[in-house]
Amino acid sequence: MKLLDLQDLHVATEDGVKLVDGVDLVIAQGEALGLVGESGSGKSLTALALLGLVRAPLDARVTRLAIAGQEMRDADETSWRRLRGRSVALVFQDSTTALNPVRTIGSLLVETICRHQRISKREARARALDRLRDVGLQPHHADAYPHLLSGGMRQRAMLALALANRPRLLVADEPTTALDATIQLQILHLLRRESRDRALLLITHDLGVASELCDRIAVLYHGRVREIGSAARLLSTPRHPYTRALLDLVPRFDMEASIPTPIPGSPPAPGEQIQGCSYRLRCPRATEQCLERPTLEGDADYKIACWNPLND
Amino acid sequence: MTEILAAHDVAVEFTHDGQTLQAVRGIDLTLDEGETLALVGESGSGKSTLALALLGVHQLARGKVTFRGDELASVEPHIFRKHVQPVLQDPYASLDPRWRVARSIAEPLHALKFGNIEARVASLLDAVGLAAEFASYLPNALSGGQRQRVALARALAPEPSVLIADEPLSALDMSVQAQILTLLADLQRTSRIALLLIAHDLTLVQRVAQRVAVLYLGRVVEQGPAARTLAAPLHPYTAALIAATPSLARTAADAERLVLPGEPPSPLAPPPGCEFHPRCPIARDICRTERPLLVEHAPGRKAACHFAGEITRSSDISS
Repeated sequence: MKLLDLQDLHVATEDGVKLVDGVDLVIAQGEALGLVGESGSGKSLTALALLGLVRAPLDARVTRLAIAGQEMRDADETSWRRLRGRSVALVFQDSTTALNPVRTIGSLLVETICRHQRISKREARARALDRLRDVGLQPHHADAYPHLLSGGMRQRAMLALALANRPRLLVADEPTTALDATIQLQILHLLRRESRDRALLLITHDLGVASELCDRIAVLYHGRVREIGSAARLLSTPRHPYTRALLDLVPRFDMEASIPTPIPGSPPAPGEQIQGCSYRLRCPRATEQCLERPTLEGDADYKIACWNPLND
Repeated sequence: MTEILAAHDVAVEFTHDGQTLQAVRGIDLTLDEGETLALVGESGSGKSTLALALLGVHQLARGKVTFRGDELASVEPHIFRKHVQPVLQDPYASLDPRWRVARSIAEPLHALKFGNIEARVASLLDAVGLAAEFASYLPNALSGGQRQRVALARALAPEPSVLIADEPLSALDMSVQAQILTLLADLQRTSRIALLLIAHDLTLVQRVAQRVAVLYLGRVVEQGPAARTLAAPLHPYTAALIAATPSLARTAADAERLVLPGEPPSPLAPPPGCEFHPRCPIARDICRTERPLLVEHAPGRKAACHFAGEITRSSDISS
């Protein structure tokens, strides 16, 4: 069952500067999709659009947006409020700023649960403790304020909040960027376990993190998906030169230690107008044909937008 | 190799509300001319505190820091500052938002009474790969990578012999990290600056450092040549750090076994015996009572573990 069906997402400024330019994403139950790209590629805006949180002066338009079977394209704020936190929930990057510092973890959980479920405070409290247990925290953490917890525990608490009403679709925006390596691995494992019967959209700039967790990977560059397919396929035989370049940047221990080759130049500014394929300015395989924009083509399992793909 | 900067049994304590926290608990470390030494460890392991102690920022509870063999207190402050320069983590916070790039880079030159400042700023911009017109830009016009280049130019301005870089890449995108890393390696090759690199990313260490010191709860638990230490760690904590690094080569089944349980203990109440024992997959009775000392196990390789070398590959860990 499709828990996310997003077709043709556009996010633009009032002046018509395109920040996300036609993104399609489909995620089935039990599936984890990694959305990978550099700063400014449009990853986080895509996440916000899935929660109906794109606000003026930005504007989001879709052809179709269905979350857990519910069509949200023309939904008003009231229906979004009903959906957010219940069918779809977001795990933020920075737990220091995302958690209200003057509220205990337990009261945040109870509030989130009571917002969507007509149950007593006592029952909500019991459920809150269940959620804490799910993410590996103790009941006494319910009475803790965020600053008393370590970064790893705060990230667990944030996951508990996102899971409070058992959402079908979980969106995690760089959920481990602020964490140490051993704690990052714990959280990734927890995310994988909790997303087993849900759908997970993992947003990250690190292909290594995506490979740890995701069944499929979509590579985003300058507001467009350039290659999307199974993680195994993208990681072993990437065809888009940008995917290849990102892969070369992922550090590996089993390789001769050498400094990875940087991608020449820098990513275009969000919304910058570039004729044709916007990666061509940094691409070693660019030809004259790339002055014309390639469309994303392929079948349901694999798509690519490139005139001169690798491994052909 | 000539020793340029060294810590001798350095301890740093902080007192708050009557409690004493030992952030650094007796560390010996030497940095030789022209080498890159990496300090790795998780948050709270004391990396940054040690770096600040080496910069002369913190009062020491015990031990001493020496620069070219002389105790810090006896070195002329302006000589020390000329020769030992910090590069900070976050280039969004370390540059004054109202100062143009040229002014930021020139500040240490004015302070240390250098002449011919304009020409120096121009050559520094060139050295870090920025075009001359960047001199007149304000930081808000720069990307994260460009800002970190400016921060690096500012650190290089007084022609230091030592750079102490605290997580200089962690605020940057991966593609930009590779650029700054290349730049650091090039600068070091040409100028023979000694680099103390603080990092939590071991793969980065593997690429640029000759030696590595692994910190846990304020002590060095393993130290040695970077390549051999990372290929065959002696301490189980080093092995676990290597295992925790996301990589593409690992299979799901591998990954399942490698999760280190728990979090580093509070430095306010360190566990008895070996501080790592509550998380250690091979801990035995002796580890709970007796703290292992940092001793040499092979030429140039030290570890503080009763069972050093028992886990050499990350895949040996099961918990």
